[in-house]
Order: sequence, then structure tokens, then C-alpha cells
Amino acid sequence: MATLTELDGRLRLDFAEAEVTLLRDLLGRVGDLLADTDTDTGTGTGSDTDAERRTPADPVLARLLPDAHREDRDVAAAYRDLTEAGLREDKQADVGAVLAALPAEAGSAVLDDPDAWLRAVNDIRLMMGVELDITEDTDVPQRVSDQRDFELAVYFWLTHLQDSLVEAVLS
Amino acid sequence: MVNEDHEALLPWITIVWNDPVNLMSYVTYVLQKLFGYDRAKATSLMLDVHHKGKAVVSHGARERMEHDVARLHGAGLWATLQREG
Repeated sequence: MATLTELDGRLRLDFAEAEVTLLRDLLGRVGDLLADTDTDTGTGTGSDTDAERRTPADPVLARLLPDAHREDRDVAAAYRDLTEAGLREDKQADVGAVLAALPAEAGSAVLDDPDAWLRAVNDIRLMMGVELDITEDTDVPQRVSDQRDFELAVYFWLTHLQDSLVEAVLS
Repeated sequence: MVNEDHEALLPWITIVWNDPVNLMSYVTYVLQKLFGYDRAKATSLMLDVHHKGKAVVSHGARERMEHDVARLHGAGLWATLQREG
């Protein structure tokens, strides 16, 4: 289990090799989704002039880049036009920052920007939350006997990591 | 009693909705960090999100609420804006 320590006011995470491999894979998936603006822009089929940005069809992207208004599609579309590209860039930057800080194999990462870690780890959890259909009643698997159990175990590992990071930045 | 001038100036609100992924501790931290709320206020809003399903976390001009929603989405919280009332 990744170990969080604080030294001279800086947070440091020590990872096993398997954890680094998992994190890289998951961060890569989040980054790829955010970078993919060609196949899932949500753009209307009309001419360019009346095309408007809509909720992404991919449910994970729809959670990472949510509608800003629940009922008023015009407000949501206008907001999306203004902000979606920037939000994608910011989230990709967080993913990039964590990837750059991760060790190549087993080892430690110094958290120069803990908030970027919090956001990136949370975005992974949001992605997995959609994929695994997480609810407030979802429990840690008692044993890992299939792929879903494994992914749930990873999800709860990241939940623990997130909780430790929040505790560290709050103290 | 309603101050109409005040309402005209502050017609929009930002709402954070409950979701099963965001941790209670993280939501509290984000509200403190983004809005400068103290721990007690941020915790109270987080508990409303958790128990009532949503909480109004800021109100003001539409542009200002768009800015708040953008920052909340940046942190991964599920936020929307709407006209007050």
C-alpha cells in the first residue's frame, strides 16, 4: 500500500512497482479520454454555425465534464462552449503532473503540487465510479475472484490514497 | 423581508450535488480552498450535500457563478448553476 510521509513540509508517497504501473495505466486512460475531442465532441450534426456543444456521449466524459445546468440546455451549451476546452486542458495538466512525478518503478514521488494529485486521483475515481457503477452502498470486495473485484479493490485503494492526501493537506 | 435591489444584483446560485464517489473530507477541503470558507461552514455545506442531496455553495452574478462552477468541475465536484428562486 502506497505510504504517505511528510518531510520538511513536503509530502512524499512511496509506491510499490505494481502501484506505479496501475497508476500510470489509469492516468493514461483518463488522459486519453480527455484528449479525444474528435470522436466525442458532442457537437450537433447541423452546419458549423448552429452546431452547439452538448453533453459528451461517453458517460465517463459526461461525469468529468458535466453539464452546468440541469434543465436549461441553452445555458449548459453556452457554458460548455466557454469552458470545456479549458477544463479538459486543466485536467490533462493534472494527469501530466502526476505522471511526471511518478517514479519509473518502485520508489517515491515528491508531491510538489498536492492539489494536482488530489484532482487527478479523484478523476480516476470518478472514471472508475462510472465504469463500476459505484453507489454509496458499494463495499470493499472481501476476496478478489474476478476482474470486477480486482477493479473494485483498485478503486478502494485509490479512495484510501485520496483520503490520506486530504488528511495531509488539511493538517 | 426582501431587498429587491440586492436580489437583482445576485440572481444566480451555484449548487453542489451529492455523488457516491467524492469523499466527504475532499468535498470539505475543496469548499474551504475554493471559497475560503472556514472548516465549520465548509463541513456544514458538505453535510447538506451528503444528507439532503445538494447545497447552495455560492450566489451572485451569472458570470461569477460560471467561474465557481468551472473551479468545482476542475476539482471533480458535481456542480451546476441556476437562477435563484
